[in-house]
Amino acid sequence: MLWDPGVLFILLMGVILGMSVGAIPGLTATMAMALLLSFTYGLSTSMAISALIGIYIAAIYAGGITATMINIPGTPAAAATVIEGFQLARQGKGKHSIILTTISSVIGAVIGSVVCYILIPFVAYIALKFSSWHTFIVAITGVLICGSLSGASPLKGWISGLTGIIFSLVGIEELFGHARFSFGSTDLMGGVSMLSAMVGLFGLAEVFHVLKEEKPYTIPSDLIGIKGKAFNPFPALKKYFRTIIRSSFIGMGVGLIPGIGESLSCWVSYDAARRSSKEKEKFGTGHYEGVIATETANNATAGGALIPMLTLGIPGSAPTAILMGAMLLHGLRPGPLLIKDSPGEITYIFLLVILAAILMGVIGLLALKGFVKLLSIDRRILLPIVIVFCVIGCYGSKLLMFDVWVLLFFGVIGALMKANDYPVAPMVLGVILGTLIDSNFRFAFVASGGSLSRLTFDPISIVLIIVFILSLIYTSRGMKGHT
Amino acid sequence: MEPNHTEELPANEAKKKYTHWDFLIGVVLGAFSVFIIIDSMRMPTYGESIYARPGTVPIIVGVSLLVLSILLIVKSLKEHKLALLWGKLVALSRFGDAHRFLALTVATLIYIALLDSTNIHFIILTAAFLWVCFVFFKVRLLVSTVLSIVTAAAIYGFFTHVFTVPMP
Repeated sequence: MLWDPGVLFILLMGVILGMSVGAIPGLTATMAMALLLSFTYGLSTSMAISALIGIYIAAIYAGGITATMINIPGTPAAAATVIEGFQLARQGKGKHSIILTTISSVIGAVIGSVVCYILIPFVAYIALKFSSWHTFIVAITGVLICGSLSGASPLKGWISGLTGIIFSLVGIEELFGHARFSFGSTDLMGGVSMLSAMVGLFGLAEVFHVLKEEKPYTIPSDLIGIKGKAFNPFPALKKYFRTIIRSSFIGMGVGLIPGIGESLSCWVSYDAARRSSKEKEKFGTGHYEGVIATETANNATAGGALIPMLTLGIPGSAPTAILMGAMLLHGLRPGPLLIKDSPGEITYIFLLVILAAILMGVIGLLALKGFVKLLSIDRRILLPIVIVFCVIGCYGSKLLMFDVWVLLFFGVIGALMKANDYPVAPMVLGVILGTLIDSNFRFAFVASGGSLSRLTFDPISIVLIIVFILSLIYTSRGMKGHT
Repeated sequence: MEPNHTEELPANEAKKKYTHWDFLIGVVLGAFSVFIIIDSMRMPTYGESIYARPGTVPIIVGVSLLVLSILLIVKSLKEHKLALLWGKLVALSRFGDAHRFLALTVATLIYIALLDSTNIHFIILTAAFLWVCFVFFKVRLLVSTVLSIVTAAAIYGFFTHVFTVPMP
């Protein structure tokens, strides 16, 4: 089945499409998968799943290329890659960053898939133990970590993150259907589109911020090292081997938590790499270890995110939700019975992830020059076109012009934030995780009958709360250091 | 890190982490968080658990944001005297290229407004928007014209025929 030429061809097309979509700011893996879902109805089950997995894996990877070349992550999963990748590009080492991004992504996806496949029964057991309260703690810790890492001042990062959470709470809430902060507007009752916020803050804001300069920077293709001495990534990969392993497990672990996904794993991994590195001072200046940590983790998340979807019927991330939709369309029912009724399907899916990752790596390295040439185009030409893609991307998800207006709002906010050294990534994470934080917090208290002690005194809670407190202490020390 | 304008300021100003703009941002955010808290307190309680109220998490986040806003105001006041703050707010020294930012924002706003409220074809509006941007940023006229039309048509064709996404 896997070696069927039709399946392999469709997988290859999915990878190419995923790379194209992931590399265009304004378009996301979720959008590409959602658009193609209707096409897959006419394909066989194996072809449909291979197409979607190809897009998913490749899009997560390709976001790191634009993060390096134009300081705009193609997907939220590459938000942390911006910190080191873009600095490397400005130093003439963009090729190094892209090659490391490619190889780290392949390694992360392969390790994530292999380990998750082996550990499915145990991991599914832990995933089942994860309650609303645990998800709440992980999500809020994630926003805190992102806030402390993504800018020079943790205070500004936390302000950004908390403001993002507030924006996410606009609209009808899940528990009682109460409309919050909508002021009677039916558009606002629908909530703030996560996609519009993300594209506005990462994409449009960067466009406004760059084009306000009299001479917007451009990174010419020859500056990033395409010509001249070849870059050998293996010494770096060998040196940071422990980072690769740790980042893979972090990615898998975060992927296991339903609803969280790649947007958080890159930050948790970057934070862990920075804390344990012997070269802490190099982080933020264009450090290979930072690129390796983020890109390994975000692709390893795919393996982790598949487990709750396949074994429990709970998607680990938005792309896995689409994949689950495709499986249901084709008569497969992800959930506890899948292991019993169709164990071969689970094996097939993990093998597809590995194959997609390998194809992605090969195509990525072969297409390196093409990517670089494309993204080295004069910013005065490239970035207005990016605005159009942002508009299309936001309109295309729900066909609402309101989402485009939200895009403009966040674009302006984001540009003003960038001008005043406020990081935008925590706000994006706050918007993505805000409703999760809100609903899980409230569900947890409803389930415990309002008892905080029943929530906090279990082993998983204690571990997570300790991690939260340590993160708070560590990042507060960082804040004092900046004054 | 992101390029910023600290190199344009005197050396002692460049070292400061919090600027006069942070004072204003702190005040605005503080007012915003007070509004959030008050609005959240007005939200109803369903059932017996106060923790499950729709307003619970907004209140917690609003209070946290208020505390951080006050901290921001304090930190910016520590680095800048209050009398100087007002003068510098007028100078727009942190956003010296405001006219290009404003022009691009207005152009984008008009583009989106025309997409939303008129029946002008997507290709025409997009080509016009791109042309205005290219010309404003001093790309040669012939290149601007050809590129804007070709790009708009290509985007339209690709999205409507490959992805079958309706355009605004």
